[in-house]
Amino acid sequence: MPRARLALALTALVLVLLPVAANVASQPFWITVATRVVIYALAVAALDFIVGYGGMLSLGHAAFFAIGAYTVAFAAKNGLHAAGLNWLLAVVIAGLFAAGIGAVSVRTSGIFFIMITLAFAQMIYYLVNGIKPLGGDDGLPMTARDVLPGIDLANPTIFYFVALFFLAAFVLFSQRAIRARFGTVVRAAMQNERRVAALGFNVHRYRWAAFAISGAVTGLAGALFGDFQRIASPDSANWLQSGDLLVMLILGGAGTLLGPIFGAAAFLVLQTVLIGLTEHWMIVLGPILIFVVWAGKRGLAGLIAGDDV
Amino acid sequence: MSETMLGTHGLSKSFGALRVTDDVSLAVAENELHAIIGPNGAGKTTLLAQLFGEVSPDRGTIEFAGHDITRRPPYERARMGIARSFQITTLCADFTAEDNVALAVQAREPHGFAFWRPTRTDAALREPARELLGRVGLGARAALPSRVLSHGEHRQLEIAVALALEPRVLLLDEPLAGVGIEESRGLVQILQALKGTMTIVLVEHDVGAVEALADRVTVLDGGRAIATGTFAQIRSDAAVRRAYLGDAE
Repeated sequence: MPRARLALALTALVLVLLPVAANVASQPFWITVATRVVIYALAVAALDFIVGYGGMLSLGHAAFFAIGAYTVAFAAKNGLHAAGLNWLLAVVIAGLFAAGIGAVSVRTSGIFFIMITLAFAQMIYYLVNGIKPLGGDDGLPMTARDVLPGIDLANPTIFYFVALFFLAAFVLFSQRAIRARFGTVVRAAMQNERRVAALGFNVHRYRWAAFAISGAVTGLAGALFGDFQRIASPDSANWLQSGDLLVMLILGGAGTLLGPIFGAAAFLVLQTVLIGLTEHWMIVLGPILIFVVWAGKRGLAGLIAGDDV
Repeated sequence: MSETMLGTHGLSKSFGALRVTDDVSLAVAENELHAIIGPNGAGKTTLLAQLFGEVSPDRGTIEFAGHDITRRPPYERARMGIARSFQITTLCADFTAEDNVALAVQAREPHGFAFWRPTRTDAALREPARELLGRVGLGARAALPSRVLSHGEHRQLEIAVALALEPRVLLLDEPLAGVGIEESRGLVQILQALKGTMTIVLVEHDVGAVEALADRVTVLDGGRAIATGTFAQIRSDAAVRRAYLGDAE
């Protein structure tokens, strides 16, 4: 079996067996960490959709994540507890915000793109901080998780698998989409925008659609996180969160299938282990990140799975 | 050669105090191969960029098949049937030669977003791409990333990409620049075969190639079109001799 396939199969196996192992070892905390990893991996995969394949370095994705979390928390506060509806709402609202922000920002590139996405995200950060019905500084707590008919989301193992399902579904979608006609144009425009326009493609339209999809899926990750933590917190909209998502992506490997998963896992597991020792845990992460970037452009995924993934 | 396929009227463009295009009026007939020559800095590439919409003129109009396209962006002009090649090769470096041509084949089809079927195995894109690569003599190099191809091969690939669009007008920006004698001969043969099948605007330094290929020639000097005619007419034009061909003959 080629190395890339093997890495993919092993990763899938670990993700599926992890909660079983946690239950056998009576370590429920592992499931909590694994769920965070999977939810963040979904957000990072959504970010990778535009960064790794589209060259759009967004420093504003925390905003979409927060919008997702606030959507479920606000819906719950107003008596809406159906997970299906609330998650769909989160996707739609985050997608609409992304469509609006994307319409402006995809017309720029490079440093300007970074700054515009950052500026929009900061606006949303101050908005959620300032709006009273959204809880201000304290955030918006939920009394219980949303409910899904026939599926007990209050059960940590089940919630984990629900999150894993969404991660797998999006990874499958994005891997198909980047190789299909849509993604071929987006990838080509990353290499040479002028050429792709000269062929007759409206590059802005393709980038805009990719950005909106990315924002919508990041919103879904945020909704899952809101339900998981049972709170929407204004910190989740902070630009440092956008930075964390990018660090996870670069660490794991942008433009790779497994990169978002490896990146989120390495980042969050390190954080969980080290933060008990020191709050300055990034002192350890920093050199690791530098080494991974120095060793190859494709992050942990490139080092572990080879260049094909 | 009758109807004007691509025309400009009083086209002018300045960069600061420099007039790079100065009241240029062109009329390129259908299926004509129209060459644009001139000394370095005469404004040839800027004129071509205006024809394609990458640079917008300060004054004047551009018409294509009877439509005013002066304000249309490049991607719309491409979809209307104008293709261009670039002087400095701008392909998608990580894509293979075949990927590059297949992308152009995709461009001429309707632009619905498709998210599921891989383009790599899409025969509707790949077969025309392979056929075109064969036509420009790159059949054996189809699977190589375009960044490893030689300069001359890039020029061939540029032409295959432009042809994949099945354009009505082909704008070629110095397709022979920096190419060796052998490769140059091959490229001239490819252009010879295309001549008469579509309207071609050829910006070129190689006067020998222009003589061999062009139906008519326009000479630019200091942004102005100082003469238009057959190569023989141009050669005997006093202003042209002074500006360009002159002293050496």
